[in-house]
Amino acid sequence: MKRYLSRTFFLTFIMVPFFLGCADLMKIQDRDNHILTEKLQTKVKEYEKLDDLQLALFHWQIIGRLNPKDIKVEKKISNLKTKIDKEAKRHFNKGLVYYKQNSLESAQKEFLITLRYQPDHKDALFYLKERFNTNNYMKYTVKRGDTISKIAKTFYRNPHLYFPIAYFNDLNLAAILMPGTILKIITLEPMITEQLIDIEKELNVARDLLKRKKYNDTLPVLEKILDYDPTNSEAENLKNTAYYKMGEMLYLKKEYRSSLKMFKRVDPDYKGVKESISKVNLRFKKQADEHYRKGVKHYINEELKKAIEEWEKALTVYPAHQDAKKYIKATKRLLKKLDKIKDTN
Amino acid sequence: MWLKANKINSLFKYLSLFCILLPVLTACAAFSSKRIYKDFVIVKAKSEDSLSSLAGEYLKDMSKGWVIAQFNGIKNITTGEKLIIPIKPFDRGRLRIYGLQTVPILTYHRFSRKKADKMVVTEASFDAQMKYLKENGYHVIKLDQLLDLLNLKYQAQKKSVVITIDGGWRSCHEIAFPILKKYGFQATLFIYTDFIGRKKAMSWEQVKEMSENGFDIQCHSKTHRNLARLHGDETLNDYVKALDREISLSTKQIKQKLDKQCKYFAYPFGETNSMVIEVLKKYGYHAAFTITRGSNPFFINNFMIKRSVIYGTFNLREFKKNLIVFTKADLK
Repeated sequence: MKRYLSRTFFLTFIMVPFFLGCADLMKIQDRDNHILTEKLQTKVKEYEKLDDLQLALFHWQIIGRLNPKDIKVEKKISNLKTKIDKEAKRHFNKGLVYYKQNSLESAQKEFLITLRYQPDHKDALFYLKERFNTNNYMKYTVKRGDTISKIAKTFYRNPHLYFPIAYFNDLNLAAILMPGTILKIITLEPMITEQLIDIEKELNVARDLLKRKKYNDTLPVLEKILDYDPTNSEAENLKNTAYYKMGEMLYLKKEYRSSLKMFKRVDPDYKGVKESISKVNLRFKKQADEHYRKGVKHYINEELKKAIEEWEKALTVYPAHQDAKKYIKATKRLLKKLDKIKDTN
Repeated sequence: MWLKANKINSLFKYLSLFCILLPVLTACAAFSSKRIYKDFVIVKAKSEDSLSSLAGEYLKDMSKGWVIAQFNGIKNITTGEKLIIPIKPFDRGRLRIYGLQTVPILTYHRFSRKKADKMVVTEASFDAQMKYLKENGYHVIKLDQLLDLLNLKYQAQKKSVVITIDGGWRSCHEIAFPILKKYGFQATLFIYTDFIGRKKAMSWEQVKEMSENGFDIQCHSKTHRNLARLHGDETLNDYVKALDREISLSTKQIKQKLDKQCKYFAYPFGETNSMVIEVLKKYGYHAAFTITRGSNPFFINNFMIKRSVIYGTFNLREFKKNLIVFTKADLK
């Protein structure tokens, strides 16, 4: 009896809820599938309208997985696959016809449409990626009696141009060519291309102008090179030299301010430039000292305004002149005090 | 005694039944929150889920949260929402009847704190440009992703863009690097190895630091000579030898210094010819980059990929002109 009761208890309180729970879960899943299917079908309609058949197919396949018993979906998938295959084939064949007729633009369009229908269409991808891009070489099958020089003469009209043939085919220069071997004969392009700017030639022009001390004419040549090759260290170096030499020339002419401007355009690490800047600054300091001393004289003679004028001149020449700064402040304060005393009197 | 043993026996029976039912119930619950199919997964979003965590779990790439967002037409996750996660790329090349996706590649050279020049972008301009990309939903992708996209293997976000910086200038580390980090972007650095360690260039330690921060370090030749043209009296045989040196030695040095194999090459001055391309292929390069302005469709020649140089003189409007992510074409 006890055994019977325990079995009943087990069935009623454990197994029944378990099966009911599982049934509920199945219902929930069915409801979810239905919602997802509706969502996917809305999207599919849009894709089909825009002829995005690959996207439509993928969505139909998901719908098919969610509704494995739906025969309509199965049929739809099958029809769509057939349509995609048919369209891809049709456009690829059209592309081939255009390609053979050398109508490359039309051929490209047809191959692209093929891939729009079937992104895995290897032949269409091959045509677009490989056939449309110019080949960098020709193929040559070695004949009996061929040598690398002989082939170079045939293709490059120069038997001495054997090295490119050997290099690109991994051949030893002394190798005996086996008849039937297929060789890559690379197009020799640098022979026919012209350099937009011959850097070496321009550098020589710049060097020559520098030698002849035509610094102003050198700079545009160097700028042209640096515009083309901003990393050209030789041009950068010559540019520094030109500015440095211009600075030195102006220094000798006692045009210290212009000279300093030139030195400051030179790379600070350029040999001698730091010393030259110090040299010009020293000149300015000397000039400023002269104004400073004149100012002191005026100060002693109680010509305070004239003293300030001189010290200001000193600062214009050499802004770091500390004594001039200090005395200007003090004298201005003194002038104020004197003005006040005058006013009270 | 007998009664006690019987009780223990039945208790044991219920316990074992419970142990069997528990996993079954758990499996049922799991079944309702996650269903995995061959090409897609259906998940019920939990409160702790985010687009990137789901992408990490199911697409094995946390940066692909946008795939889930795009497929489900959402911006953020709502708890309890059923989401479909496509496992395979479902929209490669974004080919439509009215056009196709193109990827712009932005190229920078030098940066400065204040002074702008044609080849020098100021800190403020660069910051503003990166801010614009971030705030307008642009997605900076790496060259590996770009190449997969060009070979129609990878599906990139609608607004995908690549950032490259040429040369190896010190200002790249001092100015651009912190700004890119601030916006969570990673760029590709094309360095020419003879320049590294020089006065205005980065040191190898700085290059390594950027590499360790996820920046891609790739090759820009050894000396930055124009590879497409003969120099002075150079013979053609010498030219081929020079090409080999420029490419092999720089590739080797980057491998030695960073333990990374270069796969991508930026032509000095953006110029190339068939011989340069063939030498690059000989050394196992996958793609190479010019400075021809424009955006790239997937069918671009992998050795003639376009890049747009961003000049220091550009304002934001001029910068934006280079961000073409879709090109109109009649593909009906």
